[in-house]
Amino acid sequence: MNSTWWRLQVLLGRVKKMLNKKAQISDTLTWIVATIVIIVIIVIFIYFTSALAKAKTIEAKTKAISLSDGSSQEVNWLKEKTSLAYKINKQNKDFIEGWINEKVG
Amino acid sequence: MNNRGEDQMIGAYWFVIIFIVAAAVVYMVSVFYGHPYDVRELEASILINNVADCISQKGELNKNLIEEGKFNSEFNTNLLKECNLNFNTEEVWKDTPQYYIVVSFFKGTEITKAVFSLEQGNSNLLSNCEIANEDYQRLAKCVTERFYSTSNNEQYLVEITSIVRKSEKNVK
Repeated sequence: MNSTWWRLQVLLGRVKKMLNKKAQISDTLTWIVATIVIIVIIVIFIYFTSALAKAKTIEAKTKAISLSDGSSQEVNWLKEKTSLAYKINKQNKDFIEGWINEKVG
Repeated sequence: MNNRGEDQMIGAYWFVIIFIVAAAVVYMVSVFYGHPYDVRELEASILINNVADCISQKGELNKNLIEEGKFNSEFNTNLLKECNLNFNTEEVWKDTPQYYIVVSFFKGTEITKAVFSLEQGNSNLLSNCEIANEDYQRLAKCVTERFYSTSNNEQYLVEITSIVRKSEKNVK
């Protein structure tokens, strides 16, 4: 009777150990997956930051002019100059427009 | 005893993760703010606008530049003064001018040969414009714009090319 009780205790101990190991494996897997997710997110952030840092170019073809009513408007300075010249002489307008809009360089 | 060891390990793990995240944030901030803004194209466009303002007003070419159909070559010599421009740069580039501007005038529809040209600055920069490749960011930036103007009812087509180098301060 005593030895049966003892064997049962040993068996229970083994089962407990097995269950404990399974819990440890699942915990470790959770941490590994979490670490991978964190690292992937960081890599994505670093990639986008580098891309944004490279694209720091400022271009402007317009110029802000103040209007008589106090407001301001963005205008293409050279287009305005061309429009003013057309008021004086608008011969060959299509040719001139074509030449201006031709891709240079 | 076992529980304490587990806690210590998780604590160490958290410290490692916090360190990685903090290092990544520091790296991202330094990468983003470490790259300067490339304002050379903007600078070249502003230069073009100012020169255009100087040579053509209200649709007519400047009277000091052209009178009775004849271009004044003196205007080229005094271009910077006439247009209130200053090509001075920081000490770093005091020996090599960082700007170049060329203005070509074409009469009527004769666009094959310019009737007159104005130019100022470092003409060596012109060779940079022939290479249009994103891999050559350190080369000078070229901007070319065209517009139309008149003088005594004669038609003139104007092409302005402006080049700005200053690569050291605009590209990393």
